[in-house]
Amino acid sequence: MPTIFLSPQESQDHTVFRSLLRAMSRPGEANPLPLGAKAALQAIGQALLDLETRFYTPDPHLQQQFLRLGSRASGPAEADFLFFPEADERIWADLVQAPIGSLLHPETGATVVVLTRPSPGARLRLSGPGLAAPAPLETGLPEGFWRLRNERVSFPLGWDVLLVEPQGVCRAVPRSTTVEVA
Amino acid sequence: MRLAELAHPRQDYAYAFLDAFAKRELRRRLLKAVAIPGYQVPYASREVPLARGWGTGGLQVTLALVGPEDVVKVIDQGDDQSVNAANLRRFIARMSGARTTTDTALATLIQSRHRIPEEMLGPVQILVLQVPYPEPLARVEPSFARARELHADAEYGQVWLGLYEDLVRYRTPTQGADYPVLVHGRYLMAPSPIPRWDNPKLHQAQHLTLLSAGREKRVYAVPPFTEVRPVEFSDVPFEVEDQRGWADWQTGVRHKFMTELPQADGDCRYELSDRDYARKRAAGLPTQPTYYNEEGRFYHPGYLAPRTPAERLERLLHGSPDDLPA
Amino acid sequence: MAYVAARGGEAAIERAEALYRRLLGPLDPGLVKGLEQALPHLLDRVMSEGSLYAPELAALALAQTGGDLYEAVLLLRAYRTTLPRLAYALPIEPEVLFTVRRVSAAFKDIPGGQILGPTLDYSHRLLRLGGLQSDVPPTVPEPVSAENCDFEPQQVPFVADWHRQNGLMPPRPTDPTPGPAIPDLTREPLLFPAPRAQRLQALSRADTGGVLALGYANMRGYGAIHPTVNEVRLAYAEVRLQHPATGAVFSAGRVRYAQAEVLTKFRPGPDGKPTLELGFAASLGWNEVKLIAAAMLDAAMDLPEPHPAHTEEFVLSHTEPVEASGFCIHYKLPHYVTFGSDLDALRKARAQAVAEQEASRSAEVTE
Repeated sequence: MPTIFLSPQESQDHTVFRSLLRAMSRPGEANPLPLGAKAALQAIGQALLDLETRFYTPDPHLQQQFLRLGSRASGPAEADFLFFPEADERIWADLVQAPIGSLLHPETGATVVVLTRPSPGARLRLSGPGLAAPAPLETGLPEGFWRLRNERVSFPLGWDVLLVEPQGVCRAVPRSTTVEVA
Repeated sequence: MRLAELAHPRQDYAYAFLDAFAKRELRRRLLKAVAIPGYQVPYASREVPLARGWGTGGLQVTLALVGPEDVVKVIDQGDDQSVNAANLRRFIARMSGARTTTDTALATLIQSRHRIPEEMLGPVQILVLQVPYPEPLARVEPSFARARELHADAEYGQVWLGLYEDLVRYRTPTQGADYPVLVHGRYLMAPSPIPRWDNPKLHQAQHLTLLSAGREKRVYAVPPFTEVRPVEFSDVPFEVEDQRGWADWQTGVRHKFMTELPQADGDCRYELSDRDYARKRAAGLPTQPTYYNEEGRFYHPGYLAPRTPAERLERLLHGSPDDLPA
Repeated sequence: MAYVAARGGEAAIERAEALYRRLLGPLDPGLVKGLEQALPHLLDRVMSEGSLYAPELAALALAQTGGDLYEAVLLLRAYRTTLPRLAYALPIEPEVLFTVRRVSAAFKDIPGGQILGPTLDYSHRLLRLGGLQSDVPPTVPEPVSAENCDFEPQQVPFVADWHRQNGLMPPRPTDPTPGPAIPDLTREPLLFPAPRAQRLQALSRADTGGVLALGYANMRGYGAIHPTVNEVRLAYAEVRLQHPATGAVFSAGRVRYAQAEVLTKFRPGPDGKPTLELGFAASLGWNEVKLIAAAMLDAAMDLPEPHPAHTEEFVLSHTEPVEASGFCIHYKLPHYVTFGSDLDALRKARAQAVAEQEASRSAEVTE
């Protein structure tokens, strides 16, 4: 028998990925992450980033962490992944540049990871693949974020959003989801 | 930094065989595949210790997904005991420490070649289908590069034209398994060579389906609760295999997908293709609800066109809650 | 029995493998070492198709599979893919190759000379039957001394540079792409049109027989490019790495390396003037047949309208040894579900035909 073991780091990466995959398959559904707050963003990076990827984040600490993974820092317009630990109007200018992919290669649309605040945000109504019926979602993100998102998303083009709540919960809103802002 | 810091501690193989780079790549591709239902995401597709064409694509996805807490089921043609299925199952278990099962109800990950189980899959289950030909347009456009352009423009007219030519020439579609479907109203998708019987099981399903072609390096997905419609004309509806007169030679079960067993005298027997379901039925064990009931009715009423005059009359009188879009 | 044989699970697999191993005899270090020493050309073929330069492992793969090349290549590929990437080597600079053989068909003589080197090209292909009776020691050529040799293995210029100097060919493109940014076939999927780096990588790993078959078709006039072998070169190359801390360049070892260039009939160049075009292929290990055929295919792919069997997509998709061989043998797997589904379609079509015949017959009767 070959020797095989699962290191703690790989175990965490695996848990994070399975949670993200489930979240992406069921938009809006809360899925647990092993860590919370900014550490959750770091854990997502750890599971997905390496030297084959480019990332953008305005956060110097996260940037240091991701560079250590071998991932390449870039501007928001070239990034495969964008990480925002603060979701306020200051990130709009970055977000509007995030790649939405091309019709030949829609998968080059970015993944946007946002740490949300516990404060109430826009009330949404989600529908589309992964949802048996239209479902409500209240995020800690202001309406402006979702209006911008809807402006940039035109299936199959657009970016896919991962919402991380501070207590360590992840929800996804892929580009395939129709988001109505109440 | 020293070179030694970059190298991992000595082990014969990485957990679940794939190294961390390969796993991260697959994770990124899989998330995009789910976000764009039915779209074929290209991926590097590493070699695995299995010949290409023998399920390397499905295996890579399973290895990227599997963890010690998973319970893995592997079937080939519906059979857990087929040598290739046994071989894959043994490899996955050996490399991941995951438990294995033949019972559809107990599995968290199901890797399959050419079948979707008869028992309905639930929300915590993931189905991984092995794909030999990911490109549904290959019949009409052999170049992948040009097919990609057709997908970009959602230009699928040639496929309907092919179906029309079939109808003119043969009065019936000639495509057996791997019958193309339209996913989320946007991408034409090869469902892998599952029989037409299994196609409707992808529509508005409870479970996530991941499809992976190792040799052709494409991975794609059908998320749960996604519209999956066959290529059809509204006046010549899609039909599943007609096995209405067939019954399993051991259990007498009908209205599940059957395999023909030719006999020496030229006759043939019919056998349930889903062997674990057959085992449970033969032993009188409880089974999960199935996609097709004991009368052969599919669980989404109206998804399949009625086939008997009585069914047609009923539909005419009562309509259908899930009528085909015009 | 035949049907049952395709089932039966783990016990059957183990017994089948045991039977196979019994045919091969024991696997031991002596056998592996012996293969490594005796069969360098076979090793080179396995290593280049297997995309892993490791003579010892290639010998092991051959021993373990009884010389089944496709299985041996698969073993190496499946092993290589588990290895971590620690660093990117610097590009092999043609100027510092340690060349042992370099011939050109384009000219009688060339700058640096025609260097025949180790080859059987001009030998009589006669079985040395003496080898069956007793040891045949290798014939050792006369030792070369500095006095009787003017050959500098590290200074053998390229014939193409001569064409370039003479304005017959566009200048060699300078490629500033750093190692990590070079598209890597083993890390990224091959998409068409492929970046040049990926095309050359794919040809480098391609199946010798497949490349030869397609290349031979081209040579026989299907989509003819009227090629001339500009240069075939066998060499040793240093694998140079840059120390991550000090930045010093050091050699991690030496590999057998080979490359081939073919010239096409001239065509209008980028500046509108007619110019020669170059097809190129290179590989780890020495495999001249494959490289010449691959270089011809490289040139053929760039024609404005290549023969359908010589488009980039066709060539690269069908000469991948692991994919092609694996898919070929996958047809041994059971297909009864798909076949059953096809039978259903056939029966329906037949039933329709019968119905139509009957309908037309009854129409005749009515008439």
